[in-house]
Amino acid sequence: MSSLPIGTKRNSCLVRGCAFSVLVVLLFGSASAQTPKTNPLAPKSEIRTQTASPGPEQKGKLAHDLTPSDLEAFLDGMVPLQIAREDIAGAVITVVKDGKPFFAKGYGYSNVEKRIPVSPDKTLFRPGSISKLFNWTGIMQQVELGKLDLDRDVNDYLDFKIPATFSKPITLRDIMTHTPGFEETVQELFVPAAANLTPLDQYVKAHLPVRIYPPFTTPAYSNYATTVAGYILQRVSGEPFDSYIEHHIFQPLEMSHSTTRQPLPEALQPLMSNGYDVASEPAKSFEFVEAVPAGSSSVTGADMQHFMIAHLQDGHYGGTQILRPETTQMMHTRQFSNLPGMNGMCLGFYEETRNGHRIIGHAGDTDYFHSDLHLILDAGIGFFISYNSAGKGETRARETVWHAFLDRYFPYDPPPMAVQPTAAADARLVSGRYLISRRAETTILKVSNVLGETKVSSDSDGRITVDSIKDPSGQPKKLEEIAPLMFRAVHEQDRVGFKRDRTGELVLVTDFPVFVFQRSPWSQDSAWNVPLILCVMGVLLLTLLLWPVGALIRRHYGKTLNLTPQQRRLRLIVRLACLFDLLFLCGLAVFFSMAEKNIGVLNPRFNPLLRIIQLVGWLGVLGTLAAVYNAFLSWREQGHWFSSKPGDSLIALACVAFVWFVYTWNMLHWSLRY
Amino acid sequence: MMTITAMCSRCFSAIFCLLALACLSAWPQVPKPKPTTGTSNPSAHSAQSTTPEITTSDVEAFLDGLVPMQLQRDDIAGAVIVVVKDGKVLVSKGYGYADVKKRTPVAPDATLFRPGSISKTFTWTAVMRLQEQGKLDFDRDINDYLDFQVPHTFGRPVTLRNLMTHTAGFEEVIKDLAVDRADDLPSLQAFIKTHEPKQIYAPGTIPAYSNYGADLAGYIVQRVSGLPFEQYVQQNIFGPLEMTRATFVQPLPDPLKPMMSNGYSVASEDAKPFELVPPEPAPDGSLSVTGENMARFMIAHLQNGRYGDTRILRQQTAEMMHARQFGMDPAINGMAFGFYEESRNGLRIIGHGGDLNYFHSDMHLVLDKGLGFFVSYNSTGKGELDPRTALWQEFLNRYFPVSPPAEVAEKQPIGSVAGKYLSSRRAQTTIMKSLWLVLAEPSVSQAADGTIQVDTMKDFAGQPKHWRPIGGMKFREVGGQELLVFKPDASGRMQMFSEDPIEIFQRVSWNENKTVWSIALGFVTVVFALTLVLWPVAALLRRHYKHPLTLNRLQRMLRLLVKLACAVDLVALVTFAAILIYGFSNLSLFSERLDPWLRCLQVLFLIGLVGSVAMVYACFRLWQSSSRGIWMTIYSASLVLASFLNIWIVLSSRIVQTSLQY
Repeated sequence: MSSLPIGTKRNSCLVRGCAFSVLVVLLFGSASAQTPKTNPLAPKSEIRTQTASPGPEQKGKLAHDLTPSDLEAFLDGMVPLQIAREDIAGAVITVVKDGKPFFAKGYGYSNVEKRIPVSPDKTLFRPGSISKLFNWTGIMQQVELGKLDLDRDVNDYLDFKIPATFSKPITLRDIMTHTPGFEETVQELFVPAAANLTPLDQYVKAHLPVRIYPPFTTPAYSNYATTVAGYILQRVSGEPFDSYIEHHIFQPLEMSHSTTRQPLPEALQPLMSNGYDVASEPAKSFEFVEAVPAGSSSVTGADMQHFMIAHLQDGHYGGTQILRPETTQMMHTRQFSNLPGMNGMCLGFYEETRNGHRIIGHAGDTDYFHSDLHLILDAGIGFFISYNSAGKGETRARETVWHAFLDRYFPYDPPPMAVQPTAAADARLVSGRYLISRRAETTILKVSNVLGETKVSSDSDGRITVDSIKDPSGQPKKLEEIAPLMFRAVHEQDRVGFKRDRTGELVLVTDFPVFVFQRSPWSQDSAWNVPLILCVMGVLLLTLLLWPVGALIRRHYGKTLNLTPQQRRLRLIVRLACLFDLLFLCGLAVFFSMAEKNIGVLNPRFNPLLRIIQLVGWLGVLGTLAAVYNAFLSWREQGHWFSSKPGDSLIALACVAFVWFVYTWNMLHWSLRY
Repeated sequence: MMTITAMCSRCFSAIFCLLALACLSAWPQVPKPKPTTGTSNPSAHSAQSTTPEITTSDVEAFLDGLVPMQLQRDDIAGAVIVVVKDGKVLVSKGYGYADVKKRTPVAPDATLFRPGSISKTFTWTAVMRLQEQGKLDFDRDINDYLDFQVPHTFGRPVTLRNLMTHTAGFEEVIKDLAVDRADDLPSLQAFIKTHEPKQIYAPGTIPAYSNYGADLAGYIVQRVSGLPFEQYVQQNIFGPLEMTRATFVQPLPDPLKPMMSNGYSVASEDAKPFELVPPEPAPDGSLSVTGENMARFMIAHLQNGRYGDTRILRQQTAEMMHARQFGMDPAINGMAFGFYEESRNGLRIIGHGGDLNYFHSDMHLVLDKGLGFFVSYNSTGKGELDPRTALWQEFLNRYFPVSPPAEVAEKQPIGSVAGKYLSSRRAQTTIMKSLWLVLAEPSVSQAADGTIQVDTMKDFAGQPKHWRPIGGMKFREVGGQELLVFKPDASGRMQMFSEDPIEIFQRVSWNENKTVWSIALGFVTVVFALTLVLWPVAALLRRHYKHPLTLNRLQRMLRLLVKLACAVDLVALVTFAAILIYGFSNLSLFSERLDPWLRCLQVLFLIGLVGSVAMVYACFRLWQSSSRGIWMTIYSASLVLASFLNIWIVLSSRIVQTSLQY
């Protein structure tokens, strides 16, 4: 469960997760299987949770003085063991305080084989979606210049048109709060090589997703929309995106080891940390992010200190001002929230208030680099961490370190709250399955939702668990109702709230504001969809296995099937249909598992392969007619009820269920934009 | 397989850890090498490139970073850590909860932990004390101190020196390792006389950690001193050290009861009851003690017996106790008297670990630095790595960093060391023998790049470590410091020595090879099970095709006999496996109460043996009289082979024997 829910390239994570789980489910039938490194849905649906130590240490509430030596000893206790335990190669942590760099340290290796240690000021990391903050800062600079209006239809700034699916147009404010309402798109988010990179305008024009929510209603984190914003920045400033960020952010902030360019400028190449899936396996190659403004940058931990200082000081860094104070403050102010009292979205930053302090920040994930940036505005503290490996993915490494940091220097006891008298009834009310708002709805990727659903369960004491909210050991946390439809983890501060949308359906809101979770419609409830497809696969598989076995047994006893040529043909067609159905499911699973290993597979170059898989699926769907007809015939026939009637009917049912499943989850969708 | 780690009763890395190793759960010893730090930020705080000093504040901050993370990550309820230096307590700290439900925090001075086998170091200290008083001689036949006779199986007496270095040669026994009710606790005397294991090695030759050996030493203390064991320890160790919150007595005396920490398998599940370690008292593991009290014991040992104004041992006695007394190879750790060497990071270190089912502890004494370290966790946790080992090694790496020695390219043919190995600490003659063969055989293999791997020796991420040959049949952990040494014994059998001196590993031949055993067991199970499952299926098919069997009466009987024999054999195997699996998560199962059931099981195995023999005959007759089609031949041959394998498995696993000491 690698968790970064956020992310960035969440897509990448999304895809990896989905793909793998689909594969697992399809092939092995284990709905609960998880990859060691990524919870299938994790990237989408996991909710960040707190690590508050159970210990009396926190209870003591004795804040330790934040000194460099205390912090260093503390992190030295934590990080080396953590990276060893999680099979992570290296990490960098930098902290700023009161407008100055405060702490910077590298742990582990940037290159395991050559044993090159991580250096905080000489090793480049990929902060993934944290790159978006450069983009957003650039947008705000243009707003200051009057070249952009946060509330104007973005079509006014574009040379292509976002359709008017809803009456309200999409604005930059919507995009910066992740509420433009786009569905998820992952194709070509990453590309396999520098040669596959295309100019920004091609990407945004080729991958325009369907709008599935009216603007400013439903947050659904969008890399695509962020890229559109970057494209707008490039258009109104008249500078290519990479140069703009260089000239207006990196240079004024003296971030001399930072770039959004890919491949890296030659001078920086030797400084780049390897990326690893796990440290015990060979290094992976440099990741190319097509959606540049959403996550292509490479930075050192020390450079990120400059950026954090500028934001903590109202845009001021050294002798320069990258944003005016009022602009900076506006950027840090809440713009959108899902539920009053819970974290909301600022302009680009999201709130991560905790331990009684208002905190804003952003996380970032590429396939291999996993990073987080936090600004404790009222304490003048900024914290950046980046790992260069995905690791085993059993726990949320970043979150563990960050929460431990907060609990040590800003200890906090959640105020006692009486449990609501309606707890038991409310817990039952909210139990069920939920779909994340950030999802594919109309594309073939929709099938990934079947395993991505978040499950809310209740116990007899009126406490609920949300399957993605776990403590660091992987145990789901218990939450109790402390206000109407507001639940809080027992003895802790994580919260989950519920509200109703305009149609009256329940919406699950977490303290992670970039998406919400919507009650699954009955037809998409994985509680029965998953068992259904498993049963279907079981029936299909048995049919195919018993085909030759039956033939051998008949031969052994010297019997033959007494069938007319027509019946014989029909029988063959039905079995072929079963074969096609299975091949289709497996083919798609294999495709997604390839994507899981290499996100570059999500590329139009592989569309022909997808087409072939879909063709097999269509043949299977057609074969369903034969299966149903066959069952019909066998019921008309005289003979013992048990001869062939149950078998043929079961096969027909399985084929029909297959068609239903494939239809529900868009698996044969004609469009290969996803 | 937690079940098996759970079995770690009272034996630090002992056999059960070995079992645990074998089954999955890694007990890695060493983290992947990592640089202590990167470089500093010029404009920011400058990370020390120098080694941090061991100060109270530094150690506390370090532990505050490490331990809570461990507890959360591994689902452990609580831990206590005490660090002593230069005769004083440097840090004593509780983490997490002694009682999760009541949210009672762990207090270093008021929460009792169960240090398991670390109890033995008190027993050994008592032995040293009696020796310096001239009441015991390390090299005398222990029979001189006993009221029963330990046989001279190898023509040599067992001595106290043997017991203290775990080289008495006893095989491993697991019966009565735990009981559920205090009433079931046997007395030390009764236990010693009824649980004597066989000697499988000549005394003084092969280390094989033995709980019984420590109990025997405790019994000798009791007999020679004339005081009950717990009273002797009270008067001669606890008393002088003012360890008022320490006792060997089970169940706990009333005043101590409220201080006892719960034990947990994992913190997210309910607490487990107080663990009763037979006998009562158990010199090998029944101690309950606070972290703060352990600090006193460590200080006394670090000061060579002196604590404040008193002494528990004379200087030279303590020095002798801490000196190396037995080792398989000079390059690797050996045994002191009771303590074992765990030298690391260039320091000579002695210590002892301890495990009950739920409490997992470690004690380390860095003699020449005057530094002592005690940690105890009150939960097993998820068991994916050994938290105390990680903690200790990280601690050492912080305060006594070493760079791994330069890699020496040494080309040495290493085919000669690959294979499967068995721990010297094992059941060899008891009904449990098969367990070691199937579950506890480290496998040494050669990687493509010339290094070797031992599948049970993993790093903290759970990846097998790589070991590079450095000459003289020695291998060093790549990027690390631990050694493996290989050396054939007198009979030419290859032996592997690790840095853990309480056991060695001996290469097995094919008939004890885990792979051979697993395949044989799998084959027997599948063939017998298929025979039974296909019996009714085939009958239905024959009915469907109106194709009855045409067999005469004798053939029919033979056929029935085959099926019955399959059933009996299968039931016996499955039952035995079930008993083992259940037993290892509920150790108290292995007591006298199980004996009648084991007898029944043995009868079943005997019937199965006879059935197997009969089956061979029956198969042959049936094959002779049938059409001899290819399928019939294959099936008959499989059954015959399975029968032979079954006979071999049952006989060589020693399940059927008269002794129920195991």
